[in-house]
Amino acid sequence: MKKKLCLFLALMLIIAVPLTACGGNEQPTNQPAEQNGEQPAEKSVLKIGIKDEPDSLSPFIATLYASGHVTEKIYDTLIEYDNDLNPRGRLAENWSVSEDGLEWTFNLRKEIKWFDGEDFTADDVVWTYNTLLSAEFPQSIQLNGVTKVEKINEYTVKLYTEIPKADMEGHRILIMPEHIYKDKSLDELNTFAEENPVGTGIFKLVEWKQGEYIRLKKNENYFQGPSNIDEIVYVIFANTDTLMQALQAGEIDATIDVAKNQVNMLEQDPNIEVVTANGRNFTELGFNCWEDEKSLGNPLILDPKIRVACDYAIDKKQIVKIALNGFGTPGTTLIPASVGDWHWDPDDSEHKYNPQKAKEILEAAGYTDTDGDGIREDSDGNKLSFRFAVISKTDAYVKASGIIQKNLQDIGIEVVISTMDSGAQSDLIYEQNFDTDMYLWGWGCELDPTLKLSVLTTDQIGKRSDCFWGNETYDELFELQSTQVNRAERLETVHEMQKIAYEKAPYIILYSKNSLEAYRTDKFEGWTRIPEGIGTVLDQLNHSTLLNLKVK
Amino acid sequence: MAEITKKNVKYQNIKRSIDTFMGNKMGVLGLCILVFFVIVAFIGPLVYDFDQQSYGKGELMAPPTNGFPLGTDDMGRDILGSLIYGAKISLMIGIFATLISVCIGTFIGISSGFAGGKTDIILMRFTDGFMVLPKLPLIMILAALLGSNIRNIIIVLGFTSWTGTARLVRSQTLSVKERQFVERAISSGAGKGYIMFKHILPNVFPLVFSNTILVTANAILTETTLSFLGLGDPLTPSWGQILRGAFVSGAVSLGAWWFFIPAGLCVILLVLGFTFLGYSFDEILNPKLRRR
Amino acid sequence: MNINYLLKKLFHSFITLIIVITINFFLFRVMPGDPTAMVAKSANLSPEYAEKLNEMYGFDRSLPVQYAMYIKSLVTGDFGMSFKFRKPVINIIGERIMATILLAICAQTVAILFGIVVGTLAAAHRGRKIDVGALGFALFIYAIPAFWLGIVLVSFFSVKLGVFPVNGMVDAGRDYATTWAYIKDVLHHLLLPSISMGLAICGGYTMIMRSSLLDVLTEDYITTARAKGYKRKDVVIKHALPNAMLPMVTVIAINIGFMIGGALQTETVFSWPGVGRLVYDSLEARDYPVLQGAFLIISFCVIIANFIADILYGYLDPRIKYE
Repeated sequence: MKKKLCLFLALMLIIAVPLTACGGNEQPTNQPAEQNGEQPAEKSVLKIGIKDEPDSLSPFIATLYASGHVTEKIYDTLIEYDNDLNPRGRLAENWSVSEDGLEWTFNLRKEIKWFDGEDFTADDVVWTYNTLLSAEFPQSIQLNGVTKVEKINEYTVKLYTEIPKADMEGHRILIMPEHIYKDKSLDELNTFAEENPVGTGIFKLVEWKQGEYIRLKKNENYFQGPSNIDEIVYVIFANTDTLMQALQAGEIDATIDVAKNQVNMLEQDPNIEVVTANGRNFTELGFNCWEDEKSLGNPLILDPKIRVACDYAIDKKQIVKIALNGFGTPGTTLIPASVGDWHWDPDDSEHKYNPQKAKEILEAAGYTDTDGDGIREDSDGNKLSFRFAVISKTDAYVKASGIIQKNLQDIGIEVVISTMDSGAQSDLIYEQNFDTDMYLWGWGCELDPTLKLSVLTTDQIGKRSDCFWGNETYDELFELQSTQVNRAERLETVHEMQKIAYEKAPYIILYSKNSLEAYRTDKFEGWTRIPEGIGTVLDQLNHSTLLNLKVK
Repeated sequence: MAEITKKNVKYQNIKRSIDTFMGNKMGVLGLCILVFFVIVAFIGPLVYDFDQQSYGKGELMAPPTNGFPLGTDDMGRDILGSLIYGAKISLMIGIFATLISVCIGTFIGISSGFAGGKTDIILMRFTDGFMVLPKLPLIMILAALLGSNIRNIIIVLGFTSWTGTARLVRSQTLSVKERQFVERAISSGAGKGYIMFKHILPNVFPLVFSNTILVTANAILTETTLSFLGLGDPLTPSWGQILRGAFVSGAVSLGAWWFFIPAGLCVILLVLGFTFLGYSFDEILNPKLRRR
Repeated sequence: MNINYLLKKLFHSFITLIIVITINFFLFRVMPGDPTAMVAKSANLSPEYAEKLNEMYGFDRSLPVQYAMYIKSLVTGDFGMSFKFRKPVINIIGERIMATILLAICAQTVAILFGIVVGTLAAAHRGRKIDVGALGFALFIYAIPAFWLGIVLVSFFSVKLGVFPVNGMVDAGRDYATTWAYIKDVLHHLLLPSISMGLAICGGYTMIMRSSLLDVLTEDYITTARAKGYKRKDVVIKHALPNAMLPMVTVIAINIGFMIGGALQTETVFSWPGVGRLVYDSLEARDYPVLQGAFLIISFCVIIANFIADILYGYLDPRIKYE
């Protein structure tokens, strides 16, 4: 019996060893530095809940929204926007453009230092821009049209463009330190993980505990004045539900990931403020418009009449109500209204929800249901049956796809949904010869329309164009608008382009979702909405909230 | 005459088995639960009107009212209707996945036990290797790989849950193999396939049967988990999908109990029904073999 | 202990390990997506570098060569680089595994204690109300999806009563004045997930404890002891229980191995930063090297646990012959 007991104890010991080892391993990293002796004044820590963990903190390769949110605290851009969204200098003191619109001169601020004490100079800007120009990083697209970057003196940089670049003031590239990266090869920059980023930004990285949190501390020497908050901690949650609970329990102070159907509940909490702002984004129902014979899509969908009929048949208001819990705006044209007057409003020609009209269009185009199975056919008997790729992780997409399926079924179009992860969807489109007919995707929009307009150009097929649509007039107008420095002329061109895209409907713009943020009012004050009074408090084009925020 | 007696004996046997079963309260309770769900799954849709595409029919996530006895989900659909609809799906997944799993498991188990020698060693090492793989992650990966629709989930569940059956069948085969009538059949020159099918399978079957029921319970549970983790078919309202909807839409924080409590209870009840039944079969058929 | 028995079991474990490695290898070769593109999120890598990556990961070789490379790197402790985090997989898993082990051990302790106590009570009162209740409860608990139990517990204890935190292992980014404060915080976060996970698995232990004790109670020496006039309670606790622990010990050993993989549901509900959640996140990010590494490590734990269970069983059970 004793023997057995011994063995049992031995087993327990085996189990227990890792436990003690665990304690030993983890404590040192969490030991506060100022443990011995005097306690410092209470630190002010702003905790922001996020749902997606950043993929990288290197601005060159990071692609997720959450990554940008963090890297924009660590690094700076040349230009930022004031509270009314007019461009103003950040790292750049001021800038000017030559008469012909081909040369941009940026005068940089002096006496800005990198975290490691080195001076920020023109070399850093030149190196960053040149690196982005020399290869296709995710950010490189912003420098479209830039041919050369030149250092004039320590604090002056000149950018040369091929043709006038109308969206120059809209580019937001984070400047990285030349003295740290100059010896790294392009390939290393493409693949390395930045664990100790050196920036000029308002906050510095302290630690990133993967799966748990990212901790930043303030940059005391920040040139716009240091923040009143000592630290920002991005707390990573595995799901929105616990995130909301943590906000209510006061475990976090704010979040950029608000669950839409919990807004009402949050608003009832006297200590929580929910911020709803029109979002500069859109979600589209994209069609496989690839006319190449390699395309594996159903060729019927190449007929714009069918796509327009779909536009009439889809009840976008209901999609907004159900998929977004009402926190969004039904969409019409490519550039959403929130971007300002670049948006073209179709007015009377809008494809308003009207299943009857949709059926008429299909009838007129010769698509009728001849065999009585409820699905229309073309004159050769090919069925209007389309495959629909939907990303299952995005709740709103799944809900929208269900409604779309029902709407189209009502006008005699069969939709077969298959759900997948986003990687599988992009494989279908880019790797497997567009082996689907419809899909859902979304884009964020900039203040300048160029980037979003470029998505539908023929040039971008196989690159950023995900519907592989091509239209010569549209392409010509795109080239034209990017050279029109006269805003009124450009506006007209931009509107014309949207009209074409609306009538050919490679995309059906379903909705723009609102930006939802929430913060607690009991600990900090100074939350500032940008644009003033109507915008967001956390996702900002300048540092207003971070500079204004202080402990109550 | 002899024929009749033989039939009589058989009948007597069956009657005795039924009596034993009816004496087992747990088993009867399990059976009642299953019958209830089968009725719900097949008669329910005929009686209770529900369209799974009735998006926005009611308010979103509204508490129970007259029109919606168990409230609505996050797309405004009737939850009671979804539960009834989901019963069929859960049963279907459980049963078909189990069929696949039991076929594979029985085949490998019998082959391994009957053939012995190298075949046995190879098959059993392979089974061990498969057993050791972390099951839930494996299922998740395969589901993500194949794409998430009901058919694929059934296949994945079937192909990942056969190891227990295989081991059980093998040990039973080994003991059946030793019996006289098998040895006699071997010495009389009967083909291997014939012996496996005619002599061994019928003797292994009772054991497989009770095991099958437990495998079904597990398959249903795993499907629920898979759906919950976002790897199910999001537009088919299975119970797991309802629970995912509840979790994703924050029903827990909102206190929308009607969204996640009834669906959870349905899963528990159905699994419990299968477990009760399997457990009592196990007690009746092999009193010596007790399981977890 | 008989050395032959030991060697035989060791050999079996080794073979199983090889098979697991092989399954693991092939499973991840059939996954979709261009691996090179996944390593470098940029499409425009220089061809030389793409080649270098190919070489590093071995994508361009024939399968047998890749297999050999894979084995070789495993032997040297190299589990590859994470696509997403661009760090060695072994480091990433290393950061997470302690959290899982901590959770798993607490949950196991809860479950084992519960199982032994309730199982013993049930067996000692066979056929009576306690037994029926315990058995019913054990089966009921077994039928509850672990994630659902977690949700219900969170909704009650964290949301309604607000007594436990809802997320993670520590208050994120907090500085601790003392080590004790840190430990206290971890324990505070740990309690609800470990109870949730412990409850989810205690049903199995209860059943095993009950049935193995029932087995023992029918044996002759128990009857003898009873006949000698020992009290029933003493007989159960002093004579029967130690012997009934035998199958429990081995099952516990096996279960410990499975725990790391089994924590996935609980970790997802409670945002616990362990290996289970890492697997879940990596699947979404298609971070195959991490998945593969986690897979292998979890399987390895199971193999070791099985081996220990075999040895324990051979050692404890006099009926096993070593020849």
